[in-house]
Amino acid sequence: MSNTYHEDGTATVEALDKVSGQIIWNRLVAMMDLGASILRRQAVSTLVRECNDFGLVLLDEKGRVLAEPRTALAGPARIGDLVLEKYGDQIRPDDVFITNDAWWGTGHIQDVVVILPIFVEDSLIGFSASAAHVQDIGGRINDLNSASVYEEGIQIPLTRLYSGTEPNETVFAFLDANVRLPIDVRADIEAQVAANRMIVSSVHELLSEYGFRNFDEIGRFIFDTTRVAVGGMLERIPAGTWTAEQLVDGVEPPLTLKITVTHDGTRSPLQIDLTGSSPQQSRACNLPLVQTERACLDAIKSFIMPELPPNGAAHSGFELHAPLGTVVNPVYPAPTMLRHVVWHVLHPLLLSCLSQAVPEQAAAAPGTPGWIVSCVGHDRQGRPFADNFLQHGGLGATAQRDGRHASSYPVSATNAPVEVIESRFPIRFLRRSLRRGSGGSGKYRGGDGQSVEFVVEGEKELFCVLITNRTSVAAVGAEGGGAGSVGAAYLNGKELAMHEMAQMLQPGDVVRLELPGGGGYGGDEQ
Amino acid sequence: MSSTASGIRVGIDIGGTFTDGVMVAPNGGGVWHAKLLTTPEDPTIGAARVLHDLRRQAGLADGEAVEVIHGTTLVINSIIERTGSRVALVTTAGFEDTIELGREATYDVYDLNAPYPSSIVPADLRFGLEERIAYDGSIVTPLDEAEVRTLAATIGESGAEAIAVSLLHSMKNSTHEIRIREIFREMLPDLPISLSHEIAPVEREYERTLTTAANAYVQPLMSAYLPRLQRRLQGTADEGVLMLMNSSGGVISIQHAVERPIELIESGPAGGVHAALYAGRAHGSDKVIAFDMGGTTAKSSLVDDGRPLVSHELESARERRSSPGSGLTFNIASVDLIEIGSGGGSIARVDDLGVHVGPTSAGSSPGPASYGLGGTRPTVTDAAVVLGYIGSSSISDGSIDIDPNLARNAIEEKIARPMQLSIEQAAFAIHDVVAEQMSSAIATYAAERGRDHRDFVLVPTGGGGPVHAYSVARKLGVRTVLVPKLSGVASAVGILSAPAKAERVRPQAGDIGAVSLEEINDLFDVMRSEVKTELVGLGISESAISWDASVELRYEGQSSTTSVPVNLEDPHAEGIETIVRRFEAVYAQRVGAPMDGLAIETVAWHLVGRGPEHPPVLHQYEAKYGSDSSRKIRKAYFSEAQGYLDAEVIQRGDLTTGTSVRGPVLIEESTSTLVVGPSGTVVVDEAGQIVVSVEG
Repeated sequence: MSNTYHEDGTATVEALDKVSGQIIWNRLVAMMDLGASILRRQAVSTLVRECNDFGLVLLDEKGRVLAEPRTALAGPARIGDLVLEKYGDQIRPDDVFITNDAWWGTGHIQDVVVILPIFVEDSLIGFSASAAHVQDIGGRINDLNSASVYEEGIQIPLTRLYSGTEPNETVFAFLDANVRLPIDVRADIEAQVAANRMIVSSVHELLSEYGFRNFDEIGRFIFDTTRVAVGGMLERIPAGTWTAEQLVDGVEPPLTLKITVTHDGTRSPLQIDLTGSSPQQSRACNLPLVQTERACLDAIKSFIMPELPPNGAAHSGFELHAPLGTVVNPVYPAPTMLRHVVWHVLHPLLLSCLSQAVPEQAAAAPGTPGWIVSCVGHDRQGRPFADNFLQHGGLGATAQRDGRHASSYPVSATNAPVEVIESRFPIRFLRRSLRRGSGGSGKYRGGDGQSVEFVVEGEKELFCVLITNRTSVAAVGAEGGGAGSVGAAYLNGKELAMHEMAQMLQPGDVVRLELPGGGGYGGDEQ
Repeated sequence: MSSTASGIRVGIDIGGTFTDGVMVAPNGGGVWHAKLLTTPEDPTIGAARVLHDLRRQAGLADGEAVEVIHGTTLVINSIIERTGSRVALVTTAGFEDTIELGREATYDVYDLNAPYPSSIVPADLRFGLEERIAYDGSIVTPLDEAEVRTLAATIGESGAEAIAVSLLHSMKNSTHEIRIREIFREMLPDLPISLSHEIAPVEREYERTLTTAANAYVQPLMSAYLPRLQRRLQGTADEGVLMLMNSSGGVISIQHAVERPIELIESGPAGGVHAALYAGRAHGSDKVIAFDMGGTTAKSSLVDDGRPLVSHELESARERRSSPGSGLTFNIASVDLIEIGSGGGSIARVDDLGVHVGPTSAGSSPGPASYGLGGTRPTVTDAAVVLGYIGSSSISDGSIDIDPNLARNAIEEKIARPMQLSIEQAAFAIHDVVAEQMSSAIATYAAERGRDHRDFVLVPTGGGGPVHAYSVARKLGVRTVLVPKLSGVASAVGILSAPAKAERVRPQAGDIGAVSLEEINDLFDVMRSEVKTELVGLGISESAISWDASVELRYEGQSSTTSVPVNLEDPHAEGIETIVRRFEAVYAQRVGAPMDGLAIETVAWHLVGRGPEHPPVLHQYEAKYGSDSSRKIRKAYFSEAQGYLDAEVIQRGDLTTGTSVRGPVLIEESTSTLVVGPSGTVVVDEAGQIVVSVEG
């Protein structure tokens, strides 16, 4: 292909190349979707198979993202850099690498990353990589109280997992000795290997079909098309500076996120400055830079170009300044296990900051992130047991419609059915219903949160951690809409303070969760 | 199953635009077909007209009894358009909102304004009862019959037209649901009642509740419609028979359809898949990709080992056609059908990322630009016109005049100019994007089910299938495209051919090592006698029933299941070990390396009984295909040449068995045009089907 792109963002494109380029790009995304489907089907981890808690990336030989699936979370977009830095010309065609490095991977060590290099003959042309939340990684269970990453489980430095079909049994031996559910974790890792192998073989078929020896031409097409498209969208945002700030109350004491966006009204990237956000915490809510960057990318993509397939050049839409040593750019070995507490607030907050520039795209704040109930103890058969389940608050209303009730955002997780939870956990639900009227008022109403109530059964005590949020900071409305109701958690009818969210429960204890509503949009029309 | 004296059988498929009918007389007595406009205000009128037309063609009197098998879009349309009944939903107290909460997923996290389906049962018609079954089927809180009676009175005054009952863990213990029905029947004798453990026997309360409520939602409609249709078609003839095609490709009785109308949701498409299946069989292939492309959408489904793949989870009524998760998912047995892309009326547009096609459709009004009915936006059909695939009068028997200039203008203005392409390049871009979308979707679908699509033959149907099949086959690496006779009324052909079918499912979650053979035998004995009763009721003799027993298994903790056959004749010889080994073999073939150390657990036991099939004997069909002896040439665009080639235009009626033609060639029939490029060769097989061999 002979596309010529100029520095000013205009393009001269040889006619049909533009079409073939688009076709091949679509094919790459479809291959990633297939990899996602294989991973979801083979994995054992509840969070992978029920909640889509995984990601995949196809990288070029420089580690830049070419494609991701449409139906998964963020993949390990920077992992190629780490592999190239550590192994460089030692990378062999039949290598399978593994790591769970939170700073290079996807932000916490529960996400294990598997990387396969892609070779054409003797040349390294790229990588297929995945990250998936395994059923257990040792350490504390979903606990905010870790003071450092050392308390959060076993760390896997980037290393070879397989040479060809030959496993590195040392790695598996370390894992077996350090995680609570070694068979499940191994199954989850094997599922990732299978998904990546499928992607690698599909890549080979595609390249040979088109007579390519590497990703050069298709990569240039993807990156250039993306840069031109993103530039065009940036031009439609007026010049200005906008600020948004929010208290995050899922931790005690609450922390602050602050965003300042500056734009000059041209094709130049948005300047995103997170200065003013809280310092790095000695609690497990720090969001490593790699994932802060991803949260910003996702928010901007959703704002300017929802249909753009994510890729390395999408980053050309913004420049990020996140001061080192803050909760959005923590220094190793900061604890990061529950990084979503910051991530799932940062993304909508950036959207609300941007909507000041384009009010017709305004959305009220959502009652995010979802609440997690983590349990450790014994199942009904008396076997050791550790698992968790999710539930979600209401979403914010937009300039076009009511907010959805009780929904996952900004990721696509799901709840687990009551019938499934009750057959695994030693608990019985008394209620799971909409919390009517908890969404903010307005021309368009905020989505309602939900009420969840359960009783502990069995004969043994059950350690339970409730990861809650928006119990004191409401989801604010937009353009005059009302705020959503705040959430609350109760034990046997008594409201729990933030420092009481970890409890040793006795049989018969009743826990009730009232999840927050989303903000409303616009003044009430009545 | 031919229970009328004449032995004449008729398949009638009522679609959104057309009502199709095919009639077959026994023993080679003849085949007739008819295609008339659907009458949306009362679809039974159009069906009666089709039957009248068929009888006239065959020289039969209107009163003569025939056996009619019917496929309908009534159920799916009622759900999509939300025109069903007022349903009272009874749940365990505290879980009334399950149907609205759903699974809390967000199908498009980048679009805050994405539309979601509204609940089919409003909040004021959901009622909780203080009762509770535990996860193991034990009773925590017994049913309070006085409360049930009070509720019956409330429902009686609510204006509800049907009732759905879905209690937690009713799969493990159904006594409460059954007792509620007894009391309701006594107090509310006129309201149909759907119980969740019967309609959708699955663990997962949201999916079970939704499926049960949807069944109730369409029940009053179907209870009124089916007897009306019966009267309209058969008049007063007592022996006239009406049966229905269900979503999994089985023929069922009216009574069954009235009790479980949700099973009819994909009734028409299931017919299409069966037509593809029989086309493959007549050609000697038991691996078929059914590929149907109509005006607004394209769908696909696989046939393997001569049977359609069946899924027990079906997503329907999507808010956004191309977005999985934007619709409603029902737990019923259905041909494993997926939406793969756009239809002929889908509109193409350009943005910064390139050319996009659909999901917006020009429909039949204003229709594609080239129809000259006021449409100005370019569609997939317009691209096919510019590329020379569709001639100026090759749609619907020439009843629509195609104006290529209108197609060129629309494509030039909306695609070519913004993309800086020539009109022809822009038209090919539209065609190629659509073909890529469909072939990618088919490849992914096949791989997800552990099949290599290159081993399959592609059977295109619908107006757009034959136009795109050659391009799709080349992209997929599929070597054979097969176009059956009567492909324009494929669903009606399939409906007519499918066997009567009854099936039972018994969910059972647990380690297969803990299951005893006696337990399995008892389970299958009960299921077998239920299925037998149902089939005998359809006029099938016991000896004519063929059986498929299987068990769904998975590794403990996984979500995807693998179905493994069970030898019903002699389960003892079989043994649990054999079943386990069979699972490991199928898993290795379809999914991946066996997961050592993980237990294998049962999910459900299945039993299907089928009556005899009635594969169409279409070579009797004396074609009323057009014929034109003068040799015609039309220029058509092919990617192999990166430009236009002279393609021979042949009327299908001029192709006879043994004919062999080298592409490029365009084969026209009344409902579509089969496009074959220079890498294809066309022959006609002994069944009169067109076989295109495509070189890689």
